[in-house]
Amino acid sequence: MLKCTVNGKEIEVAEGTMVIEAFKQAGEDIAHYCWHPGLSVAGVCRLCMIEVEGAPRLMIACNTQVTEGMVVSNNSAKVQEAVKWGLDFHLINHPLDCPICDQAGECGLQDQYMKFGQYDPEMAERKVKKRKVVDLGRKIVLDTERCILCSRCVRFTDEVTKTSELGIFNRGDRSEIGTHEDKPLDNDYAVNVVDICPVGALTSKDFRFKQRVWYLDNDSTVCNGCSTGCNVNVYYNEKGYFRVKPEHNKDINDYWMCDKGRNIFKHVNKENRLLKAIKKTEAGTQMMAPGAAAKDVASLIKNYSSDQVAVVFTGQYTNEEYEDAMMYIDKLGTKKVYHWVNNSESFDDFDGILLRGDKNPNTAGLIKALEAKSLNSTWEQLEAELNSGAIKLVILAGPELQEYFPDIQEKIQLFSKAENLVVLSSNPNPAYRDVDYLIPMKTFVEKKGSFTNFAGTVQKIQKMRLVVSQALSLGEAMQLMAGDELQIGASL
Amino acid sequence: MSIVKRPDIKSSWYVTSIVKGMALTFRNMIYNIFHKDEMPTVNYPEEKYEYGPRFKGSHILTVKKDGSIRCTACMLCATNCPADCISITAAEHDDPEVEKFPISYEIDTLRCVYCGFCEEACPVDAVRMGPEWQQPGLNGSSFVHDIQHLTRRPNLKGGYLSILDEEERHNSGI
Amino acid sequence: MVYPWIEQTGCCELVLKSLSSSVVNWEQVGVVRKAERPEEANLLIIGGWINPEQAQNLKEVYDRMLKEKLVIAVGSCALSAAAFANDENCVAAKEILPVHYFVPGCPPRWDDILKGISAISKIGMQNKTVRDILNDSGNDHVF
Repeated sequence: MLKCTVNGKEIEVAEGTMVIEAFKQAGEDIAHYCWHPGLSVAGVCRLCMIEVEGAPRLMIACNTQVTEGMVVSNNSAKVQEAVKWGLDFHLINHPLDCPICDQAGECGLQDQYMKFGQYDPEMAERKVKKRKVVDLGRKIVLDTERCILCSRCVRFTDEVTKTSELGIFNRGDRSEIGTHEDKPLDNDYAVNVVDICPVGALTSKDFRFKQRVWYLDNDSTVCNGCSTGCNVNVYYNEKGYFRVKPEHNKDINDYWMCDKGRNIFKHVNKENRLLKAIKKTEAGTQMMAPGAAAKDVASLIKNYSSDQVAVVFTGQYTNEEYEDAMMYIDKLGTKKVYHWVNNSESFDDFDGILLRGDKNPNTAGLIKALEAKSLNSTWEQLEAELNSGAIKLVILAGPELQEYFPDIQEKIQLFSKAENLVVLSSNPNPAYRDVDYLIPMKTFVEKKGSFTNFAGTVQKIQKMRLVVSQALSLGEAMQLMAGDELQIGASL
Repeated sequence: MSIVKRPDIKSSWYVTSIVKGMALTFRNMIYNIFHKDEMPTVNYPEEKYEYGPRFKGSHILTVKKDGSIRCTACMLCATNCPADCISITAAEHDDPEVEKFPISYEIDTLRCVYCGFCEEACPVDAVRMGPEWQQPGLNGSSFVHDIQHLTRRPNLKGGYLSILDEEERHNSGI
Repeated sequence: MVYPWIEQTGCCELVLKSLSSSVVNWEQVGVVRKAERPEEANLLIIGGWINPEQAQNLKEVYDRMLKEKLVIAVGSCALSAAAFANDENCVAAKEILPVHYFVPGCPPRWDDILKGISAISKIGMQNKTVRDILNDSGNDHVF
């Protein structure tokens, strides 16, 4: 451990750390664009200037290692002048795009200009015009004029995804970021370059022009796309949910997340949700409130004996919901609890970076809850009993992310062999058209709980803004269907 | 020690003050009969009061030289408004020179306090407070002004030109 | 022919007081004279912000007015309480009473208020004296 003094504070750092990491550890501000803790060091932006006692000139912090007894500071007038001139060089050819740029409000140039700049530009030459609105594939739009050539995106595609699609073309002040011949940037982690770009050169098509950043709140939770369980920040306001960004977790996902996880806010917004419970009657369909529909199901269950009722789970609910559900299944007395797994052959697929083959966030939690009650019926038993008519009522806790369950139609046909089918789902689906009871559920951003990922780590999810407040969580639905009343102040 | 002047005897005869007051009234009345155009009263429906050139009335959205709307949906006016009366939805424009434009811009005049903060906040001179008075209406008329009304209502005679032109700015090299 | 009764608080007081002055003459748009008590009024002009005690007061005044009555709401605070949207002490007039005419502005120009009164006075009662109105209204106290 080495000792050093940063802006007057004494700290101890490990061997081999750079001065900029020492600044972050001490909690001091330092301006930087091209350094990123998850990527290699480039040293091209020249903004992280520091004054080291004993050295005649200013040095950059991202490529200078800490030595024993180093005294470093960046709050003198000499350093501020140097940073101001470095910023001026970045802004020479930068277009006046703040009203139309998505990055306004979280832009590196805006932030550093307010701290170090605030000068009148004295540049007498004309700005260089480059290409704007270049389409780079399914998810990304490039604006070459706004780029400040920090090369974070180039290093990302070289080191993290190892596909090397992006590069710097041309020379001097005509340099541009791009792909060779504008080929699409279509790897599975492409939208991470939008997060690491400090200016608005790379923007995401899903979020482009939807909202201004200062109108959004954010909260951290866990992605429910696959069993890796990357930590994410979800951005929302009273109009809905707008985007998902990764959060740093050094054990699970480092600083990145995959592209498929960027879509997990879309099924939460109101236009894609079930708002009321639908009950099929002889005369057509009837809309009911979700709690009332669950109580209806409870009165229907009383007509059957306890071994004529089957419950089918998917691995998409939280640990606490499974515990509550198991308690009420005990009360119902049925032992016929099944686990719907639709792609078990590819469960162990892993692409090397983050994506795994198991597309449920909480399979491990479900298996543990089932084993705790020693409920180990197999899928063949379910099919046999449905075919023979021993099961009269099936309760299905349906999937939230329906695109990973392409066999919904066949499974619903299988379950319809029973006399009554009750589906608990948060989103509508054409396969649910002829179901007896369709009850809306809450999505993962509207409940508190925890997911267990593939390695057994338990991570908490948070409750954010409710979209459909009438919808039930799995524990509440099972409680009502078992005949109990909900208590005031119940969790979830 | 204070010196108090005793009120003189004439002030207890109320008749004198009545006569003085009536003299004032009759003097003004006869003056108004002979100098009718100097009366301060504004005969409302026929005469209207002239307000100054910086009067803050109904909003106007300016247009560019080719007739398209100047606003770039940056939402600074909606952020600065103290009464939250502006709602904007942005959309992508086909021309890459004009990337962003509003497909819906609504001002709720029942909430607006006509302060002028939106005009101050706009970076491209797209919103102005025009010279027309606020439009009152019966219960049931529409008090939400949309883009069609703000830009191209008949009083504007085709649209106000914005003073900040993108083409001149690009040609001068900024 | 309207006999207005004005309820005003706040900055809208300034423009509502000037309505009966000599510069801005409201007798040209159909006002006969200002009502001395709410029992004689058939037009209620509400201006300024409304807090819960004032709302109670307004309801009582509205109940005391003549049977055929009209209401004009003046100013942005009475119309929608937008400037004080985070404060539950300020309510909009249309949540308390049925409002027939809205005059936006902060405070609105007296021209717009006169336009409102002239638009409404065409709906109001015509060609009757005060005594006729009071006798028809069925109130207990008559002159």
